[in-house]
Amino acid sequence: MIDSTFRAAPGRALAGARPGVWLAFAFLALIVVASAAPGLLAHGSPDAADPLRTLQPPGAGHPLGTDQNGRDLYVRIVYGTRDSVLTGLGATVLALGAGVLVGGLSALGGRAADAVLMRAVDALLAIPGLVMALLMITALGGGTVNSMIAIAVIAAPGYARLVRAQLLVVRRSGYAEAAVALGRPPVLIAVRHLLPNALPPVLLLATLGSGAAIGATAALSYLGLGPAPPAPQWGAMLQQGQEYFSLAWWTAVAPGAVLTLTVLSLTVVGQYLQKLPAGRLER
Amino acid sequence: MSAAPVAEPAVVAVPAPARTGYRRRILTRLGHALIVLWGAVTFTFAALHLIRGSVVDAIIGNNLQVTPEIRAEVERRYGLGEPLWRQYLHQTGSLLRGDLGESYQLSMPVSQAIREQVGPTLTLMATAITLAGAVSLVLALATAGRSRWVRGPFAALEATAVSVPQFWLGILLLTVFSFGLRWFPVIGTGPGALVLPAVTLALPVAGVLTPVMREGVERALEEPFVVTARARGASEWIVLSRHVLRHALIPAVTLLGLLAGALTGGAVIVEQVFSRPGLGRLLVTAVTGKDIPVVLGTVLVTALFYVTVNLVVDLLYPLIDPRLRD
Amino acid sequence: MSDGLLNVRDLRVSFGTGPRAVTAADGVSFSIAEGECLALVGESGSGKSVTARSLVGLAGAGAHVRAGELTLRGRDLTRLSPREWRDVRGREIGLVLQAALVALDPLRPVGAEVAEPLRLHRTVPPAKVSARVLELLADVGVPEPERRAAQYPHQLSGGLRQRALIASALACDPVLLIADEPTTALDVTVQAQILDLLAARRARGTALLLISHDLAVVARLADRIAVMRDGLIVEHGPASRVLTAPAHPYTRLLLDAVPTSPAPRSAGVRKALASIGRDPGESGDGGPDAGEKAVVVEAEGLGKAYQGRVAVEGVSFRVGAGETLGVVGESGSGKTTVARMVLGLVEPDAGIVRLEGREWSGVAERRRRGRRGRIQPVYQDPLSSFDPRFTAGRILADALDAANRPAGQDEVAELLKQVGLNPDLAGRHPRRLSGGQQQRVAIARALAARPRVLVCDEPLSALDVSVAARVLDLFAELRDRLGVASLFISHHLGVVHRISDDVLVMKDGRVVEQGSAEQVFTDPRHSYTRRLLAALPTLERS
Repeated sequence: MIDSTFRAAPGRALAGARPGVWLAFAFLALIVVASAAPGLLAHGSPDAADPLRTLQPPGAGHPLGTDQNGRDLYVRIVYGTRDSVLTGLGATVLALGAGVLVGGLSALGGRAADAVLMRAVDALLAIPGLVMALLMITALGGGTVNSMIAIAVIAAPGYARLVRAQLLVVRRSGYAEAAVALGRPPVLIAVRHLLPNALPPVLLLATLGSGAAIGATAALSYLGLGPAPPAPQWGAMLQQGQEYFSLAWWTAVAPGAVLTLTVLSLTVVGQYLQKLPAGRLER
Repeated sequence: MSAAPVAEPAVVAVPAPARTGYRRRILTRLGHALIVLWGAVTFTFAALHLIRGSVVDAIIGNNLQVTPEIRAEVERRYGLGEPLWRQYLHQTGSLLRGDLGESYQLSMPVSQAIREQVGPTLTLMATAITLAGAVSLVLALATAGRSRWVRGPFAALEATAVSVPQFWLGILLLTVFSFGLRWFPVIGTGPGALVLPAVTLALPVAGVLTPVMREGVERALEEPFVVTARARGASEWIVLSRHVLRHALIPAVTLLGLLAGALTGGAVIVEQVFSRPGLGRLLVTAVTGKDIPVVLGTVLVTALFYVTVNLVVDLLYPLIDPRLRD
Repeated sequence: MSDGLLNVRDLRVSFGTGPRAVTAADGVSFSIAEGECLALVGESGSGKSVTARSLVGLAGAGAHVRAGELTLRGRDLTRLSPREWRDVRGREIGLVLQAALVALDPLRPVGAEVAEPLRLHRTVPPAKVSARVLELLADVGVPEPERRAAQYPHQLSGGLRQRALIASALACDPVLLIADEPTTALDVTVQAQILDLLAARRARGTALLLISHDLAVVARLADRIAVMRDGLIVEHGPASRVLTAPAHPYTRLLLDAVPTSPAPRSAGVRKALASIGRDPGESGDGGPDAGEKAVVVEAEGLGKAYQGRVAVEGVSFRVGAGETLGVVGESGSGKTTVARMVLGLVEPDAGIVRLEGREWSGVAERRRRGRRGRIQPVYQDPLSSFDPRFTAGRILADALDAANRPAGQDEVAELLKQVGLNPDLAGRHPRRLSGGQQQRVAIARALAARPRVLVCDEPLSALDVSVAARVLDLFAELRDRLGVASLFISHHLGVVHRISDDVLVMKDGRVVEQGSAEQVFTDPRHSYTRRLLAALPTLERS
């Protein structure tokens, strides 16, 4: 019997992460603004080319420099936010929906459904994420919507598995049994006890997952399989500027840094949220 | 009298795992793996043939000079005129014989193209996983149980390593170390050219592995058997090396199976960034060129790799953790 | 006090610094002579484990340990370097923890664990280590030591694991053995064997510091007893004196909490009880005049097998209104399976359960649902039986609602009062309640449906003894006041003796003895019951 004094006080782990978490939230707020109203953050058109001022280093007038066509990188990054972020978020929402449906059916729909669905999920998981995305792009063709679907197909099996696992744990719990013993019908137990307790960890994972999805969208753009060229998507900007990186490092740094900060912010916030409801999750 | 580290006691031989249980485990896992592979084959077939509509169009692409004769030739060659179920059976049959078909663009059997490209990719992945494992192990042991002033910066580094998009990381490393400092060749096949790609591939993996291993170490350190070991007079080094380490490895081994997928996807990106030969390059070229037999073959080979790694991990478990032997 | 083998004076252990510092031991003093056994008794949080671990320099991370004196054979332990501490640990002082599955490294063979101190301290030449390990294992009563040494901890029973752990602590022949809850979580017959083993060791001259939450456990072994509470030793003296004439009220509380005799009840209360706690509309069967022993729940020839292994076979019993049937057995005896069959959560393979005279097993769940409120469970771990999102009040309101009763604040407050809780606790989350309060909320939830039967599966096992005693009193009170019948399952014979009218003794899924509590406890017929009773720790000194 270890006396309770041996245990560290909960919440102490969070204290260290706090400034980072605040910064992450602030950056995400900026991303929301840039997606909703890019005009508030940047003036000028993302496609305004200036042949006389190509590959200008960061400086007055062009805080992040210009690209090979003389377009302002800062403006392009701000205007590219919506496409870069929403595709990933949309993919996450799609994947989450499919995951809850399949995982829920698998956990609560009987043994046969479980066996079939879980083998199918295993088969999908056997094809590595990016390879699966490339397969889907081959089948569907490129473009924004198709890359969203492709990335949702990568993420969905993971959510399905987690939903199922969570539901199975919760269904075996003492409180589910207590509800049975009180004579509650199964549907009510599922709605009142099982889903509300099984889903929060899944939603938290989706925060982390949306970061990964945004990264994967950019990767597809980088491979030239995302939206059509003129769109100022971050990944596509990196692909188009690749041959100039040795001449103009800023063209490689700026879009990638913003992308990294976005994914990192979602990771930090996701990890923070996972630790937050200490009493509820640690059980 | 000092308590110097001593060799693992030879006092008792590790008992042979319960033979029948282990054999049955191998068989069920093998069966499971085959079902999963078959599922992946079916899914791939369905994705390419059902969604795409006309595969002939996909193969021919936008080539306007295609005559009806060529079209018929393509249909005949790939058996595309037949009903879907026959194509499916035919394709599955070919796969069972190891026949992946003929590449449309490369004019060689797909299996040959894959054989030529698989070596560099495996080298890259093996180097990366070794690097990631070593770095994670050292970092986990060095930071486990430390104050938050020590762990904070490392936690931030880990989160960054996980979040940074691999293609951008590769671009950065390339810009700084190849274009800028000229430490490593930009392209090539020698060991020097392997450094940056392997680091690019390893970093996110280390970002995932390190916290998992550290948590494993910390959790094991709180177990009663650690108190028991210390109460026998064991030093911290002995506690870590003889007791804690194996416990910390179990979750890491679990992750290894999942990381096999991430590594494959990462290799696709890294090969593209560094213009390295390999399966990833083969796949991307095939996808852009709509070379369907190659896409299909590559997808299946990666699935086979993933399933094999997970099978091996599954079978390794009981060797690490005797509690799973019975 | 300074001439013993081990002398401890004014030991203070605290965790953390500044205003948030927590004091775990606050000026503890005692000494142990060679071959003597001192028992340190207290409930969880009393500081007994921290005190014990401070003696081997393992109080834990962040612990500040200070002592006026801490000497072993005249050597000042407070001045030891880490290296010198390692030489003391295992060689001069051995430590045995609770018999948890992970007290020995689960990834290493038992033999390697026992060999570790021998190799660390080099008390025997390397070539002779294996032979010595087998000797040590044989010495603590592990049969077939060669085979056992090659096995892993999970392959051994709890008792054998604890013996192996003791063997590893004794490997270098320490002068002092510290045993921290060495028998907790063991079945009572195994517990008795382990205590005998420790006694034999003491007889051979090893001094013993025995840590326990249970006065009855230490009674048969301790020469002296120190009772700890909130980091202080509140009473300290010869065992016979502390057990028979305790000076401190807390010691008396602990002694009273050792359940040995039946809780008193008045026959008058029992006869008048029946009408309370019943639905007004339901008075046809078994009303107050129908006799005091109207059968509420009955089982006939219950059997259940899991994967071909018999879990329960041929269990039959009847429980009348206001009666308590105690079910006793060690782990694996099938008592929990019986509880789950009676609750209608597991379908029996054989036999039948009847609730209030009507069939309860073998009935479609849809038809059973409306009657479920009549029979309610109380679990060992109440917290896990509460939806983690719900407050205590919402848990009770939900239960009232399930029983189609009004579920307002007043009704919830009434339920809380019924189990002796302050109605203000309704707004709290159960995880912020104490263990005893949690179990009371669980009982209140069970009562919300106005059940005729409570099925209680080890309801006191997770509680400290003094808290358990008060919850046990609550069960007795509810039985008398509401006329609720109960099936009371416990591995603890004292508890069962105190609460039960009839007793069922189970072993390997079968009933080996059945009868009135009086008869079973005073005149047991079956040899197994006699063994259980003999192993039961009592306050009498052997």
